[in-house]
This record gives sequence, structure tokens and C-alpha cells, in this order.
Amino acid sequence: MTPPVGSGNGVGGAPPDAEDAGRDADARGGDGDPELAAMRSVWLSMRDEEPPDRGLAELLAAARVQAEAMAPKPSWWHRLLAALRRPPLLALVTVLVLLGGAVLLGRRVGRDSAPAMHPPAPVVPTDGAAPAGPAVGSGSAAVRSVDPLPRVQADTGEAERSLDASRPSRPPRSPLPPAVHAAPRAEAPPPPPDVGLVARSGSADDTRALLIQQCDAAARRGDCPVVRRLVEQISQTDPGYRARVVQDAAFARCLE
Amino acid sequence: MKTDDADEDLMILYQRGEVRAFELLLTRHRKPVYNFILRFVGDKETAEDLLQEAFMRVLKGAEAYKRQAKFTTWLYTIARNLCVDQTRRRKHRKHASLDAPMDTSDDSGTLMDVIPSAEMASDRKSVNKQLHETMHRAIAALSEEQREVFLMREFLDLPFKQIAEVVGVPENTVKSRMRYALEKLRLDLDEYKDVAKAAP
Repeated sequence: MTPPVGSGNGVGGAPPDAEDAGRDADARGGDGDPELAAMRSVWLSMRDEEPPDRGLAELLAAARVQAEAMAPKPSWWHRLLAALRRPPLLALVTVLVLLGGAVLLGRRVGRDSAPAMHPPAPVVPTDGAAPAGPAVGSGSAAVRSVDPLPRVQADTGEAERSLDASRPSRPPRSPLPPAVHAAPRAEAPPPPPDVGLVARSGSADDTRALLIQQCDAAARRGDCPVVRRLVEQISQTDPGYRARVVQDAAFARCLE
Repeated sequence: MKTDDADEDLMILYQRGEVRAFELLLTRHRKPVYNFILRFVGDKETAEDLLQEAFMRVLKGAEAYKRQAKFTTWLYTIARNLCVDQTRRRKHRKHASLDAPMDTSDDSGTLMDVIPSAEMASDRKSVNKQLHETMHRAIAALSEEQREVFLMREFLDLPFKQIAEVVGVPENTVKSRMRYALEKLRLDLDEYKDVAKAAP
């Protein structure tokens, strides 16, 4: 039997690492020591006792309280979702959604049918804004209506689109009914106003005002061919127009 | 959650509010911790109280538990500290009596009963009982430092490194203490060595 070595209790002088490997084997296995193996078999045969249930309920209750305290708090949208899962609230929300949908649908239908029932609103010429709206349907009488909602458009694009629309190579118009044309107004950019059609419909003053506005826009961006053409067109109904605008430098550049 | 989840995973689940995870930990560790405490303090009633206190401390510290720490190291550190505090308190109050029962169970003998005698242990059962009682006595006679190392190593099968973490001393110190403990047990049980060898 090797005498105890090490410094655990301040006894013995050997350095602690001196016999680590052998000590570990001795301490646990005792393979080479039948006495130790016999002793180990004795204490390993000592049965473990079952702990009593006393206090177990209190422990579990405390565990539940602690778990609730530690559980992560749900975010506001988790709580909202949880609330929405409750039947009464779910029913209320469903009714609200249905009502809202019905109201929206009703308003849209009313807006779509409005141009057909009312005469076209007068075009108010404003500087830099194109009052003309998209075409509603096709035909000879009252086929064009002005968009009742004011819409501001860039001068440059507006006039350009107007001219493009009057070109003979323009693709044929869609034969869709008025409601279909009016529906996507909110999403799609308005189609270019047709100058020719505008000239044929509405009052002469309205048409002239529109042409004047387009001519003014073309002059500002320096589109001289368009200016000359529009000035000629306006001069047919307003002979003094050319004389008036030629004083403007922007027009003078194009008309001289 | 699975019943074979690691202790650390269960602890993390418990931190998220899963009470079932703590119940699993309790089921898994209650018995070994209780027996560790019982062998350390040698008194059932005290062991029950300390077991309860140990798990209460686990609950209190659960929020601060980090995944890096081994759960059993933490748990046995708590249990061991409670045992050390308890034995130190008791030392001041009373000293062990030779006539005091070693155990609270009705059939436990006194220390006087297990003093070796040539007439004892006529059959195997009584031999085993006598051996176990002697073993209890020998373990109780170990110093506190040796006893805790011996119990954790031999009964809980903890590696030396983990015992060192629980006790808070270098691993080599733990090994030394273990060696001293075995030497002392060998001496205490020397008179029983033939019986021990014959025991199943």
C-alpha cells in the first residue's frame, strides 16, 4: 500500500502532480487492490433511499410562480392576436371588415357610375396643370369627360402625350365599357388627352383654354414645332393670339 | 421537450416558463441529491429540509442561470454548501454520542452496536447490514473535506474535475482528498476486510 501523498490536507511532501495518473486510477478503480475493490462493492451495494414527498407540492408551486415570473412577456401584437382569437372579438372584427368592404364597394360603384349620369365638369385651365382627364368610353357624343378629381400633371409629359395621342399611328382605342376604363384611374397614369377629340367636344372656350395651356407648356420647354402648330390652331379662333404671345421670349424664339 | 433532454436544455426551457422542464429536473436529481445530503449530514429530517432548500435555491437562481454552466455542478455546489453550513452549525450545538442512533429509521442501531465482535453476523443478511452500518460510520468519521469528495466520486460518479469545481479547490487537491479518504476507510474497515471480500 502506497502511503498517501499530495498536499490536499497539508500532509505529505510530494508535489501534487507527481503521481496523478496512478493516484487517479487508485482512487477510482482500485484495480490492483482487491481490498479496495471489496470495500467499494460494499458501499456500492448500499441502497439509495427514496426522498420523501414532503415539501414536493410546495416546491412545484414555487416553480410555477417562478416560471410565470420568468416567462417572456408577449409583445403587443401577440396580445392583439390572442385577443382576436376570442370568439366575440373575432365576430365583431368580421362584421366590421364586411361592413367596411361593402362601404368601399358601394363608393367605388357610385364613383364609376357618376360620369355617365352627370354632364362633364368644366375644364378650369390652371398654369402647369392639365385639367383634361382620361377618355371614358368611345363614341361621338359626350365621349370625353373631364376627371372630376383635380389632378396635377407635369407640363412636359402632358403636352407630349397630347401630341402623341393625335398622331395617326396611335393604336386603336380599347372597346371596353366606360366602367372598365374608369376603374384603374387610381393606379395607372391617365391616358393622354386627345387634342382632336377635345377640340370637337365641349365648348369652344374650353378647348381654346386647353390649347393655350398646352401651347404655353410647349413654349416653355422649347418645343417649337408644337408651339407653331398650336399657335396656328388657336389663331383660327383667336386671331390676336399670335400677336400677344410673340412678345413672350419663349414664344418669340419659336415664332420668329 | 423530451425526457432525455440535457439538464442545461431543460433549465433554459424552464427559464422560458416551461414548468414541465423543472419537474423533469426534479424527477431526475431529487433522489441522488437527497442521498448525497443524507450521507453527508447523516440525518433524514435535516436531509429533507436541505433537499427542499437546495431546490428552492435552484428556483431562485434559475433566472440568472447561464447555459455555459453545467447544471449538476451548480446543483451539487448548492447542496454541498448547505451541508457544510449545516454541519458547522451542528458542531457548535452538540457532539455525536455513541448511544445516539446513526439513522432516524426505527431499525437503525447505535454506534455501539457496530463495534466489531466475533459473535456477530451469523447469516449473510445480518453481515450485510452490519457492513453497511460500519460503512456509514466510517464515512461519517471522514473529515468533511474527504467525505464530500468521497460521496461525490463514489456515489454520484462525478469526475474529479467537476468535483473540484463544486468544492472550489484544484483538481489535484480533490484527488489527494479522495486518496486520504480511501486510506482512512481502509483502516477503519480493516477488521472487516475478510467479511467485505465475502460479501456479495
